[in-house]
Amino acid sequence: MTTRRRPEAVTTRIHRLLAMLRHAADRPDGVTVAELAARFGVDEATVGADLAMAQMIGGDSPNYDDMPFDVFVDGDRVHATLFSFQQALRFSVDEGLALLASADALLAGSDDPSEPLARALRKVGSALGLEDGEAIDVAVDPDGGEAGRLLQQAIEDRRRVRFTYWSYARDVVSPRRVEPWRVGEDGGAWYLVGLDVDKAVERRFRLDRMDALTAIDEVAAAPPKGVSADVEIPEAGPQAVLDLPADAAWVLEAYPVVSSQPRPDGRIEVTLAVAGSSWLERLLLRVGPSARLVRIDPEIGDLDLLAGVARRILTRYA
Amino acid sequence: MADQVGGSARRTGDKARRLLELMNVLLGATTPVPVASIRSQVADYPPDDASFRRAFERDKVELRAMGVPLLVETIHDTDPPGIGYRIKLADWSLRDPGLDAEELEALRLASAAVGAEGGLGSRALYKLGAAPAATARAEIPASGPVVEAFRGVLERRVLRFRYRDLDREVEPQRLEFVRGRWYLNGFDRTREANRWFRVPRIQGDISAGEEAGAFERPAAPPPPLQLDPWELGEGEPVDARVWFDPAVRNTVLADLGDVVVLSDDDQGLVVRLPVRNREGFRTWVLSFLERAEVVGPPELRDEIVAWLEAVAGAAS
Repeated sequence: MTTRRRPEAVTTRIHRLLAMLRHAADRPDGVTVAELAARFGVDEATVGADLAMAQMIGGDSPNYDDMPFDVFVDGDRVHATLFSFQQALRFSVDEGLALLASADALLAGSDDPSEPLARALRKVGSALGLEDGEAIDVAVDPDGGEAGRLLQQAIEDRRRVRFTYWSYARDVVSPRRVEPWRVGEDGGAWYLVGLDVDKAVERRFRLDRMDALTAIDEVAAAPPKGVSADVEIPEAGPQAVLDLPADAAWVLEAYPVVSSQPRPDGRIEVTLAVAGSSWLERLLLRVGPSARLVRIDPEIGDLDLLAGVARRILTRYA
Repeated sequence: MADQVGGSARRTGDKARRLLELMNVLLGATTPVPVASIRSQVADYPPDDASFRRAFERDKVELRAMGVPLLVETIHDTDPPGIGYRIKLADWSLRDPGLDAEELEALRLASAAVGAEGGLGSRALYKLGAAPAATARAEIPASGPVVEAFRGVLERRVLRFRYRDLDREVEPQRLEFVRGRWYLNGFDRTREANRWFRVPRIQGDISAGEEAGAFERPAAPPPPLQLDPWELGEGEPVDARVWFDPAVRNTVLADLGDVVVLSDDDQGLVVRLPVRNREGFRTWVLSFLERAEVVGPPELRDEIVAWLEAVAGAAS
């Protein structure tokens, strides 16, 4: 990865420098170093280093007129004249994709063609050679919806939050009190990482499994540094052995299989790491009447687990 | 540590400077520039021949990776004929999309909310004269196969790739990013039908054909992407009504996207869904265990009951 990152950093630096020079060159009275730093999101020392580099380009050439930029700093003002590089380099395919994807994601749900972002999307698409903006469609809620925004605010205000949470693996709904650390998206779902106050452990919660979310009047401690949204909560767990029909071989690909072996009758015996009893119930319900439970860790349940869940659900339909 | 950081920044600076020098020599040159001339005009190339060659090769790779349209041409008026390089201004220049200040600001804010991996959006914004805002909160993958696929869409190039163990030849039409994944739509020449492909499931690389403009874009939009298991398949759908426990309400709504909500209160959530695929529907409803119930129509409800009775009977 490091070998890929460095050229990207160089590329970014080159494009930033050219953007700064074009910006300065467009202004007859020049710009201040502070303005450049603020506009391009870097510190003044970086602006200084970039401008110093610009002044050297072409300097070793035998011809003076090979220098593409004339940059001079007068007091705190930067003046620039460009003899080359007046136009930006065309977009690379991946940059075009990035721009269109961002714009389209934010436009989702709005169909007002006159709003600035919609106009920008059409213009950029057309500069890339697309007749309409329809070649790309991105569905991403930019900040995790209403819950995401509430949590973001709570993180900024250092407040604890409370919600009821549906644990998918155990099918249990319980109240939680959490110190929120970070909200982020991972593989299409939004997560909160934080400290479960009553259990005193770090946990990851899916936003769409929360209900009755509110910020409460309790101060949260400062989050630890470098919290990432993709904390994996290890579920080192109990196991179950299943006897499955041959047409349920997809289970081998879709679930955490510890081992598997074909049986003499053509069926498959599979040992699985089990995340929770409800999780196993779902899997067995999906396979259906031909699934058999061979062995199960007592903490998950007994061999009647499958019939039990079927009967439980049937009481709904009675 | 401080020395290392400083050293690394200096090396980045040296590299940036040399690439700028190289582009400066080549950009807008009216005739191809011979290698010897490049070597004498660009500062910082290593003095010995072998090191120079290696450095120059690396720089060419990097310029191309940046999207710089580097031309390689034969120089005929030398003996023997040599090789020269240049960058034509017309190839280099961004076609100015003509964004006004408001549009540019909207684009900048959009990149700050949903960005692409690897700082791609920042570079694109610099080229437009804007600067990126803070780090994006949601990130969209924009590397590897999806970039080749997008090239195919933009330049109307035929894509070749392997998918579900078949070699495909596809006229790409559209890309959609839904629920964390990219999907590609196009006309599959191998199967003579419009198809959706899940990009992460493409086996190996995608290669975009040599010829640009290889096909016409169809006037009609592609058929919509169907991700819900109960909607996959052909035939007339049956409208199912399903009740959900309030505890799973948010999860259900997040799963469903566009759906008809019949009621939504402390008694639970009731929705109406078009079902084409009975098996996909059953699996999804049963994944909520006793927190979901098929309310109607009777034929769908009876199917669920029959399945559960078979399971209860077989297992006991």
